[in-house]
Formats: sequence, C-alpha cells, structure tokens
Amino acid sequence: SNRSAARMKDRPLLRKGFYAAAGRGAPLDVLSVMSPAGCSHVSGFKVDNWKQNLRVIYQCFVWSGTAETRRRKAKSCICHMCGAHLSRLHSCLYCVYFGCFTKKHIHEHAKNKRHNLAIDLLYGGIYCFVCQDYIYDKDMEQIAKEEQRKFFFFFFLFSPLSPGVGEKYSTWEPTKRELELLRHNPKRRKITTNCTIGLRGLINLGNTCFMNCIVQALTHTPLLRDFFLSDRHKCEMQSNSCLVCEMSQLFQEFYSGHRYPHIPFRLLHLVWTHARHLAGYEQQDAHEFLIAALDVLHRHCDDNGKKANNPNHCNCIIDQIFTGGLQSDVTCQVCHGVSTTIDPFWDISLDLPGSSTPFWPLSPGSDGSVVNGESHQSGSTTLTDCLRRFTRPEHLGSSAKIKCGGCHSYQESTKQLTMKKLPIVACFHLKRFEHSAKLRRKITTYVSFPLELDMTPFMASSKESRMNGQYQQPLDTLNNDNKYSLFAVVNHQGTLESGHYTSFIRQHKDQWFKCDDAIITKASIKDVLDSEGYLLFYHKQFLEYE
Amino acid sequence: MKMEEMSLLGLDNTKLESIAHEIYSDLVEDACLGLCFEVHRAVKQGYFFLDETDIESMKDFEIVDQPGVDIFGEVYNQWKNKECVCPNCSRSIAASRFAPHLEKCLGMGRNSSRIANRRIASSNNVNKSESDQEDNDDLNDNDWSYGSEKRAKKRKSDKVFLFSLKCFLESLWQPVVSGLYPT
Repeated sequence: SNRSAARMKDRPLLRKGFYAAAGRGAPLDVLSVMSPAGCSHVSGFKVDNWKQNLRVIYQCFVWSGTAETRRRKAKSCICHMCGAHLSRLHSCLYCVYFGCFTKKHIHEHAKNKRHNLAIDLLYGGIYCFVCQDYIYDKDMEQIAKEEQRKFFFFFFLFSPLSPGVGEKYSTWEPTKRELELLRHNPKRRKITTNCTIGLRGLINLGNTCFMNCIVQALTHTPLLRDFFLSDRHKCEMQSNSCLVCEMSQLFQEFYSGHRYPHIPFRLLHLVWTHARHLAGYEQQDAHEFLIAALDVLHRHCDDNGKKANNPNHCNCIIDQIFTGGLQSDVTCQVCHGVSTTIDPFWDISLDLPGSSTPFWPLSPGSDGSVVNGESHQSGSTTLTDCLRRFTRPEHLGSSAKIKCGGCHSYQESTKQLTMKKLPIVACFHLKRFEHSAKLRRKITTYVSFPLELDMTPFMASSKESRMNGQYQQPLDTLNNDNKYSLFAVVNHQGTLESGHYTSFIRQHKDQWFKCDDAIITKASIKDVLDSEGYLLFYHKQFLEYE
Repeated sequence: MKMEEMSLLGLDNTKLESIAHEIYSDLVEDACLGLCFEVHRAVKQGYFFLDETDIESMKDFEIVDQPGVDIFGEVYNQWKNKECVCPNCSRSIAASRFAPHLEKCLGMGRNSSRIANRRIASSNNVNKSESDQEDNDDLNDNDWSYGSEKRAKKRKSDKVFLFSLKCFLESLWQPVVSGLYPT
C-alpha cells in the first residue's frame, strides 16, 4: 500500500531487511546488523524494571493460568472508553489503560498520552503505534516465551483434561543461523500433490512379493505414517532387533526422495527371526505375513514388560490403529438367554461364493433390504454381501449344542457375529485360498468392493433392527462414525502353487498407484475397483478423540 | 458491549441459542486472528517463504505417467544386480536370491530341516551350534510364542521321529494359521 511504501522509504535499513525477510536475496549482513522484525521505538520502554512489569502484564492480563486469574482478567479487562470486553482489547504498556483495537480506542490513548506501545490481550503481540504494526523485539519475545511456557505448564498441570502434559507443542521457528543456511541452500524437498516422495519400489528378494505388498499397504496407512514420521517410537529394546525401529527406518526410506527401489532384506530377516512359524521360503500368504508382522510390531512396541502383564490393555500404535472388537452372541433356542463374548481382531476373514461351504442364502428367509446402496440381484457378489453373511445369525445344529447358563443343560442355539468396536483401519481378507483336507484351490470369484463403505449395518448396535427384518440403511449422513475409505488393495494373480502378489495404494487422497515389486506406476480408480481383491484396507474417514 | 454476570436459568431456547452462537462466532474470529498473527510473524521474522519449492526440485520429484516407464521415469526391470549383506552370516548375497539364502542361513523351513537332518544322520562331525539351532527349529516350528526357552539336546533317534512328526504337523498347519486371532 502507499502508506507502507512511504514508511519504507524513510527507513532504508528496514526496507532492506524486509526484502531480505521476503526472501529476495538482499545482502545477508543486514540481518546481523538489525533484526527487521523489531523496531527502535521500544527503547523508551526498556528502562528500569521493565522486564518485571512486562511479566506482570503477561501473567495477569494475557496468559491467565488459574481459574482465579482468568476470572480477574475477565472482570477487569474492559475498554476504558466503551466498556467492550472483546473487540481485540489491548493494554497500554506504559500505564494501566485498556482500549479496544477495532474501534481505535487504544489508538486514541496512544496519541493523547504519547504511549506508543500496547499489547494484544488475546495473543500477547506487541503493537507499535509509530511503526503502525506489530513488532517482534528479541528481549521482549524472550520474556513472552517464558511466561507462556509457565502458563501452559500450570494450565495442563491442573487441568482434568490432559493430566501430565507439561508443555504445549510449539511450532518450529528457525534460529538466525538456520535462516542463513536455508537461504544459502534453496533446494527443497516438499511433498506436493504431484510428487513421488512417499512412493518407492521394493526389490523382490525371491518370491517375496507377498511381503512387498504388505509393506506398501502399511507405509501408506495415514496414521501409521504420521506416527513414524513424527518420530514417536522411543525404542526400549536392548538389542538391534526391534521391528518397530526397522519400520521407522522404512518410512525414512520411502520419504527420502530416492528413486531407485529399496531392498527390504533387513525387514525380512527381522520378521522371520521373530515369527519363526512363517517357516519356509515357498510362496507365502500375504495375509499370514500381515498378521505375523502386526503381531511382532505389537510385541516390540513396548518391550518393558507392560505387554506381558496386561495384554488386553495395550495402547500401542498397532492396537490403536488395527484392533477392533468382534462380538459373538450365542442365543439359547429354548430360554432365549444370550451369552456374549467380545474378542479382539486385526482383520475380518470373509467366505466367498464358490468355496465348499455354501454362500447363499445369506440368512434363513433372507430379507431384500438395501444395504450400502446395493440390493442383491443376480450379478457379482459384493463386499457388503460377504459382510452380511459374516454377521448373519447362524443356527448351530443339533450336533453343536452349547451348555446354556439359564437352562443348565445342553441346548441348540444360534450364533451371530457383529462388530462391537471398529478399528481405525479395517482389513478385509477374502478367503480365496481353500485348504480343505481333500483339495487346495484358489477361488477366483469376482467380488466387487466399494471406494467408500459404511459399517453401520454390521455393528452390534444395529442388530435389533436387522433381526426384525426391517432394516433399511438410514439416510443419516450426520453419523459419520462408521464410514470408511479404501486406501490399499492387495491382489494375487495366478494359481495356488505359483502366483504373484501386487498391490494398489492410495496417495494424496485421490491418486492411486500400482505397486509391482520394484515397479510403481500410476493407476486409475477403475483399475483398482475392477481388480480381483484379496486383502482390502479401509481407513476410517472421521477420527474422534476418545 | 458491556459484560455483566447473568444467570442462564429462565432463558428460553432462542435466547440460549443466540448466546451460544455469539460465543461460537467469537471463538472462530479469535482463531482466525491467531492464524493471521502467525503469518504476520513468519513474514516479519523471515521464515514464511522458506518452504517455497524451487522449480528444479519440483521437476525432480514430479510423477511420470507414461507407458514403459515407472513414476520415476525409469524403464522397467533394470534393477538386476542389486546385492545385500546377510545380517546373519555377513556374506554378500544377490538381492533376488536373498530369501532362499536366509531360509537356509537361519535353518528354517521344510527344505532346510530335511537337509540338515540328513546331514546329522550321516555324520557326527557337525558343528555343535548348528545342530542346536536345528533342534530349536524342529520344536519351535509349531510354537506360536517365540521365546528364548532352552531346549535339551535330543538323541539321534528322537531327531528322526521329531522330523516325521514335524512333517505331519506341517501338513495340518496351513488351514489353522489363517483362522487364528493374534495372541
């Protein structure tokens, strides 16, 4: 604006500094001469006991840590002119005067009294009326930082909401030296939407495509990625064989910007060392590998004995992301008493049509209800069909009577599985490999799966309405708790004896990529949804605090 | 607008709603102001433009979407001669043959057990540590909990019996594994 141009003209050093600040390559020695962020008008304030005065102002009127000081702030901080309590209230730094900024009452005071500095009571910024801008003086900033730290310490110490959190997360600010270095070195590695960073090929170590696909799925699980990239794993294992550390290293490799494929030999070594039941090098199952890997990661996440003592109360990142609760209700046919158990799960294995166990009908007297926008007509089986079958009430025959607590005798019963607690990442395993005593074969029935999935009909809470047979998918778009988005698909091509695993993963919300060991190529959503599907990974769309 | 203490009792819903809305608007405005201050400070302190990507880097990391090449612009199947160092025996192994090497190196799996047992049966000069490892494998193969339990050394005849038992158990193992929950 014209006004700023006029100001800049009168202050050549400030102008040079500003341009330097704006990154336009002004001589660097300007930065060492004077901080362009501060101003010379604070010198009138920085006399006598100014530091203590400033501290008091911060403690009483800006960052009020206790309920008492907050009340005092609310009562006493009102504009001396109009009585306003909001409107960007400022306090004069030279005397006890509060004035609102929006109606320029503090400006009037500054002009009348020639008090040229004021502090914003909301965020603690210092305003200079001569510069007509907020300024950042190094010494005053130092005091502000200390007072703010004290405030957050006390606030969280006494807060029932976040016990034990002693310090607020502060954003990174470069030091002078760092600024210098960053200006000297303008090359940046930034993740934008059309960027390969985060994608990497994986060398096949000899039929290890099953492992490569699982690695691609895990490295593209958003929450897991965020956990490792923010360096949240603090290793407590003595030896060098922590799988979580190796996982962390894997993320570093994926985000390194390297274009040549990564060789995951250390990962293979660690997984085989810690999960020896995966014996053998012959073609292995990607699903088996996933469960084994999650198990080892879960065990290594907190290795100081906590796990052993309390396996049900683990709060490691693996449990937080992958563990759901499966409810099993067994209803006695005589007394209708229900016995309920809830078991943890990391994946849901679904039977498919074409296997030796019959798929249709989904339940006796199957309803024609509409679920997830599809009703079963002749045509391909859907993932929803599989889930409906999985959660159907199943009559356990007379050869499988259970001991009923109510009847005190063995009775026939029905059993039903439903979801009690949904995991953040839901993995569906389509049981394509049949290993019955007589035959081993692969079921290639096409199962269509959606990009977005609502798990509400399969929840334990939806059981009532389903049993009445009148269950209709509610058009309740406000309840987003159970909505999931597809983010990875693992596919198997070939036969049981010899086949090849590839995967599709989602990056940058709507870009999909095909991962075929070392070869990563762009894929369309159609490619993904048309694929056969073996392991399907869905991520919750909305995350809430517990 | 002057602030005064007032009781919420006796206020009808519309009044309560408008108060709630007012508080909400104030909070949103304060949050926006906070963001403005952050940007202002970043510009003045000189670090706002720091993360602007240079053109060269952007081109470097751009995704390539063309037939015959991957997203890095590289031709398929050129990664033939990669090597890695085995963490177990420290030998340099071709990457594409690392898995079968590791299987033998760790003494895992059907093939290596069979070979190892044949070796034990045919000669008595086997390295002590090697046979210990195979013992552990024989017994640990069907054990979910990988632990550091020590196993007593078995006699030769027991080894042969264990080997047959292991083969039988392994043939049953496959369907059981996929249905289990994590421990």
